[in-house]
Amino acid sequence: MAVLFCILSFLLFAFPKGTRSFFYYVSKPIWTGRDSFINSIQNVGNYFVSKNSLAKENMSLQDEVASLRLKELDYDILQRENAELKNMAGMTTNQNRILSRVLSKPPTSPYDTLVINSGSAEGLVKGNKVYLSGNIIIGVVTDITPHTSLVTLFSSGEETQSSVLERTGTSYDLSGRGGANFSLEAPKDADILWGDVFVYPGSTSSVIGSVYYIDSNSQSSFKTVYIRTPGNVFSTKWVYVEKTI
Amino acid sequence: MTNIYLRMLLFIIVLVCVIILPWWLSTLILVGLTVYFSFYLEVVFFGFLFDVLYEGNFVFPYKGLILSLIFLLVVMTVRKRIRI
Repeated sequence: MAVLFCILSFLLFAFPKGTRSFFYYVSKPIWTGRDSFINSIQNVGNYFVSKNSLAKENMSLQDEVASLRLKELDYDILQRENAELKNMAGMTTNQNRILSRVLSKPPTSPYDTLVINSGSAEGLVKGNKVYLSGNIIIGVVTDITPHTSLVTLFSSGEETQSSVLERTGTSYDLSGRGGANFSLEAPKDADILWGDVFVYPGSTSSVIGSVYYIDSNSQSSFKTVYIRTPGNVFSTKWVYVEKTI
Repeated sequence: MTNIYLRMLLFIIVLVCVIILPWWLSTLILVGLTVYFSFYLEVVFFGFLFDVLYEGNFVFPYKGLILSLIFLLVVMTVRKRIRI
């Protein structure tokens, strides 16, 4: 037992990259196999749906698509305007994002980490920011192998993430609580309200989370603010990684 | 099926479980197997696997490895005391 422990500890200490690369190489086919299996059984239910309900669903989806197209137009215009204003103010954004498939995510991982299907061969480096969607930032790349990367979520239990309250501009340190949740101990009279949005420092368009509960005990001079990442990190199949240029 | 083949088969099944199942389910399976077998050394390897696959930074003490070792030692000690 002691010998095995020493060998495994030595592997982690002396060859962390090689060990991780090897086990990712072994696990990758299992992860992709699981995903394709789940996709195939998810479609089985579609064979037993009536024509009537399909037609209804089709109609409502078409309505939704039409309204989303209008919103997309507005969004594109606003985004272009935002970029132009940033250029005028000298805040050029050299963003180069790549889409990467999520191989493993919580709750498979006990440490609130994601394994994604891109690595150093795709130009990623440690510290690259990872986004759930265009504006929702969820973590950073903490380890790289040639074709896979490990992403540590900001909500990981050991993480403390600096953030800015968008409405007031005040800086706070959010403590990760796991499962895309954060908490914050703030003085009772701090100006934080339900629904307030916390953004990544230096980037007002990168949302970390929004307040969903405030626990203020009458006997304490502090209140605990609970913050959650918008969007579901655990059901996402793809993430965006921002490469540094 | 002899014991060694059973252990090898279980090793492969648990390996797949650790890779694809939620961590708490894999942990429950590992706890069950550690209690069931008199000396389930594989649990240390699976603790190591948790660290290798999912831990952000390899810094001693390696949580999965250490916890699995401690759990195995505790189970062995308890088994010895109650003479199973």
